[in-house]
Amino acid sequence: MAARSSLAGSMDEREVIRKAREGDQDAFEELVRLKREKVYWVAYQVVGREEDARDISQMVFLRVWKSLHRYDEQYAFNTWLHTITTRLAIDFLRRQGRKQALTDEFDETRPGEQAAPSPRLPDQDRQLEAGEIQQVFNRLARYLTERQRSIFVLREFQGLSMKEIAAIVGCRESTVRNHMFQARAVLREKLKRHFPEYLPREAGPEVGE
Amino acid sequence: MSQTTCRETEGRLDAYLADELEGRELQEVIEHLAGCPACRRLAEAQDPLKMFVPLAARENEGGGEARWDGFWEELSGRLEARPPRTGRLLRWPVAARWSAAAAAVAATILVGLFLVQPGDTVLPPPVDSTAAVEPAAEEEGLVEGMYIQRIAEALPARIIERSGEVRELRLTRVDERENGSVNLYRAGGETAPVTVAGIQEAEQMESIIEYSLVIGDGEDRGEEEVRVVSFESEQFPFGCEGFREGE
Repeated sequence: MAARSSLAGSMDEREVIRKAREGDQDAFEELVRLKREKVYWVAYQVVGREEDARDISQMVFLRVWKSLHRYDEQYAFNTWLHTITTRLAIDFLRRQGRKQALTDEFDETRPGEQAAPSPRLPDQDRQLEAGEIQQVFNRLARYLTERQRSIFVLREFQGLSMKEIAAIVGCRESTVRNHMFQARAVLREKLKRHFPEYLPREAGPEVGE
Repeated sequence: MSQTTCRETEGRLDAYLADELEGRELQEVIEHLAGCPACRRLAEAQDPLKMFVPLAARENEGGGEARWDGFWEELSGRLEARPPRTGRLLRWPVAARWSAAAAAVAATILVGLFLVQPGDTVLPPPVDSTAAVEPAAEEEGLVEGMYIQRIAEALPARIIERSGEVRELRLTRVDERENGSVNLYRAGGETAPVTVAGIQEAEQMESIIEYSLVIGDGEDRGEEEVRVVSFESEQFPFGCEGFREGE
């Protein structure tokens, strides 16, 4: 589209944000285009389902549109975006958790997403596909609390500082470290138990503590 | 691909595995490991969880265009459909402001006010204490009427029908306890009345993730179970600005 490409060509991110903040919908559309993959993937890693991640992305951008006037430019926009995304994803999981507690076990057989990865032994030299790694992660991350999972995702995949994560999830740095420690311990234990074939061969089952 | 070399990454690996890297260094290592199987194998030998690092690069993998089909159309539709912040509710006479369902639930509301901040320190509400304790009856009715009405509008009617009385209205943020959340504002079931100032104070903290309404008998079924309704604030955009403008 002409409007889109001219915006992309002429505005840097700050300018896009500034214009969107003033209510410019074309600029906001551009902002959505710039940030949607990041928002989607953070949400996806926290909730583990494609359609839910897309729904959360909708909620995130609605919230961004509504709250942009409160965004303080001296802070990193991505941190602000992570805050909104993470909190909405956590809230989403809490509501899901309440619903699931009343109904049944987690749906494990969702095609393409929750299905068990193939049990064959991965060749040590074979490069695992992202999709396969994702399936293993989705299976194991179910054992984490929503808070632990979010913190793990923000640290391990987004590379955020402990301080940033503390601000995003609304707790102390020491608490974030504690959650990280717990999350890693749970994941290592479950990886060893459920997917021993993915452990590095020469390292043996005891490594990683 | 990654700008960082294998040598640079190896030099940072110990600090990375000890979780001591921060900022750009951390992000560069993650980016490199995500794209470099050889270096990743070194990391995995120390910590098997590093097998998940490639997931960090998924936001750049592309090919997800189909996912965004109709996304902007849906979003922009919802932007336009947002209700004005000054609601018509505010101009209605008190009695007419409440729908039948809302009036039924509002009648059961007792009001209380708690303000809890991180660290679990329970503070008295930082609002005009006389107003908080003894508001004009009309103001109280106005506030309750507005909030309960908006909640009732947002709630599926069947939930109200099924769930009996409303026990509590809460404005909540995440807190640091395991599954916990902090009530920035909580009204219902206790002593003090709802005040505009109290709600404003809570909303100004900007970290509210949930507006929730407790319905039903908390004593028999447990509070968590009866907390059947929650809203993100953008889905449920009531706010005190609207109230002030309406006044």
